Amino acid sequence: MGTLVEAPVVTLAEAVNAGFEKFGLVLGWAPGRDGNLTPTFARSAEQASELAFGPSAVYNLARYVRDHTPCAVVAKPCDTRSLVQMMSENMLDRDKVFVIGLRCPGVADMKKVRERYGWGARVEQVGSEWRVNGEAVDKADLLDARCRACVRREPVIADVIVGEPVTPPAEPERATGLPESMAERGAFWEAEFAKCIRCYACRNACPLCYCQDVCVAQSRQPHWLTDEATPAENWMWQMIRMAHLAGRCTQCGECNRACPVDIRLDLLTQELADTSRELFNYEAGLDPEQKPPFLTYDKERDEWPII
Amino acid sequence: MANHLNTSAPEPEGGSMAESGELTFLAAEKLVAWLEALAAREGALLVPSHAAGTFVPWQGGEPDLTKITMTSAKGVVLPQHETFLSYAYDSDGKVTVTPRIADTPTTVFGVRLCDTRGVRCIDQTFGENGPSGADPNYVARRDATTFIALACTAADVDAACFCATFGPPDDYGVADLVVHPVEGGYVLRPLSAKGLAAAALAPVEQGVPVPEPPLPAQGAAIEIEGIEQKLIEHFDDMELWSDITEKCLSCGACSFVCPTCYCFTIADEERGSDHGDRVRCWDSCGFACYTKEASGHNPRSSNAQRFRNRVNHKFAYYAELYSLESCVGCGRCIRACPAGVDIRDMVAAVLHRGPVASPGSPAEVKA
Repeated sequence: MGTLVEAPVVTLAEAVNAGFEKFGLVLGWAPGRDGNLTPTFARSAEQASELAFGPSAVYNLARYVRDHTPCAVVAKPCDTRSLVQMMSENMLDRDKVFVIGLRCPGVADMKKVRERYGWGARVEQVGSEWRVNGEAVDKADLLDARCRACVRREPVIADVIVGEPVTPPAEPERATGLPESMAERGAFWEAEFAKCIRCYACRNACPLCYCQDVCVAQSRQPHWLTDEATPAENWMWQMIRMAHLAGRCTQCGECNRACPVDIRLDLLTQELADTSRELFNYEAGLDPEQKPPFLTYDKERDEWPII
Repeated sequence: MANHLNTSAPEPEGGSMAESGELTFLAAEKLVAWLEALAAREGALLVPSHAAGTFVPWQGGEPDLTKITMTSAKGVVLPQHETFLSYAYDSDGKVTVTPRIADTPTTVFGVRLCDTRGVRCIDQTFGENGPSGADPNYVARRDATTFIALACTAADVDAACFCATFGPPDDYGVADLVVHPVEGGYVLRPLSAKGLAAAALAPVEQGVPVPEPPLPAQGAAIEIEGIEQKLIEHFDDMELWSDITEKCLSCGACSFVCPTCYCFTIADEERGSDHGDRVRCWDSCGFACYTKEASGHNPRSSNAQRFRNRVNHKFAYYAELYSLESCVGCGRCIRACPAGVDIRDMVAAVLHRGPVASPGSPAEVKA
């Protein structure tokens, strides 16, 4: 599970100031048009002072770090796992990022908030309660599924820590909804991938999909898939992406959140994490020094779990 | 306000009948009977599905007519992917090319007026009077499609809607028939021959007074006065563009849910060693590959340059060509964006940007 990281505990304002002084750029969240938090790139002390945290801070800002180093970044515990995984793959230099690690009580499922209360509904934390448009709501009901599954409420890596300790849920919830029988699963995924519009929001929101602009999806040689948005091609696309994330995905949940047509990508990333744990006893994004299973080759090893 | 849009909607492509029929009243409990009659016609009947995020074949029962769909109805006339020719080589190496045009009659029930205004934008480019002439595949589909639009009520409009920016509530776009929800049912307003044919199948109430339907509800207008000029002035203002596009992830969600974005890519797909298809698929100016040249050079290598194109296309380039913005204010891009980008914020940022330092000279371009 990794040991708790040691770093000074400060207020968010103090942390942001420290980050701003160090690198002159802080990636955080600030209120947008509807009052909900939105990704914000603070380049002045004034902008930095607007940064905040709350139930609408759903975006994993680790995605933006690779294009903005050196910088400071405000990161939820799940977001710090993305940063750690990037470090263990040599995608990110530890010295080039100032990590403001949050202790996190969880964030809202904004799709659910908007479905229930309409677009523009504002969700915020006041004291220990959540409010939507000023009215107290049942926090457990609006808590994002990824937070209900989360047992790590402390940052994995941090230069400073913000917030009070949070008790993780006694029984983390797993993603459910996958049919039991293989025949039903086939029909389930066919329906899911019939919805796909191939916008690649899943890829582009992913902190670990580092190919981005030179993705195999756009390659004509080799030509693994076409642009035709059929269930088969769409499924092929996501299988390629998942294969590339095997043993790397930290289940930050951004692909699932980003999908405009709500394809159940959380079921696939959960499967990746389970398999990685079973076969390699490996959990991604916990230690910058650990080597991802597909980045190691040990010729002395007797047994290989797959091949 | 786009006052040039206060003119009546252009006539639907391929039809000369702008003849509007009389208003009739359909009782709420007869809606399904009407859908049955529409489904019994040759071709397909599509209805909105929030589970699928788009319009799907009607399977019976009451369709979910609350709020607008995640994706627009443009795919009915400009599908996400279509084969427009097939080729095959015979044993002598001779190639046979077969054009493919899909023109299955299709009725789409429950589109919104933003959908029908969006199709009007696509008509300008792909229709009979388009700058490159008619696109035969598009026109065939367009002619074969009947759009039955559902007028929005206040409950359907959310904070992402801003359609009032672009025209009055009774601008019905290319709708063949408008269905106005009223107390106890619907008022049907046919606007074309196709609309009249669809309305004729409705088991409407005879000999009852037809209530006057309220004007469709609209989302709040934003300020766009002068945006076209302002965008051109700030074309090289990369500090502005970098700033307002920084959180964009460069995916294609906004383009693909948009009712007016019509960019496409064409590829020859081999289906075997001796035959294959030429397919046209949606493309997005948000993608890095969109402008990548064979040499490897990419004139829009940065996110800022790509998003600048998207905003300029909607509010400057297209507007200059057709005297019509290619944005209808449906808010779909706002709802679909995984990074919280709101095109209204961009328009406001450009409008309120101070004058460029030295007009006419390119500002320093940030990497």
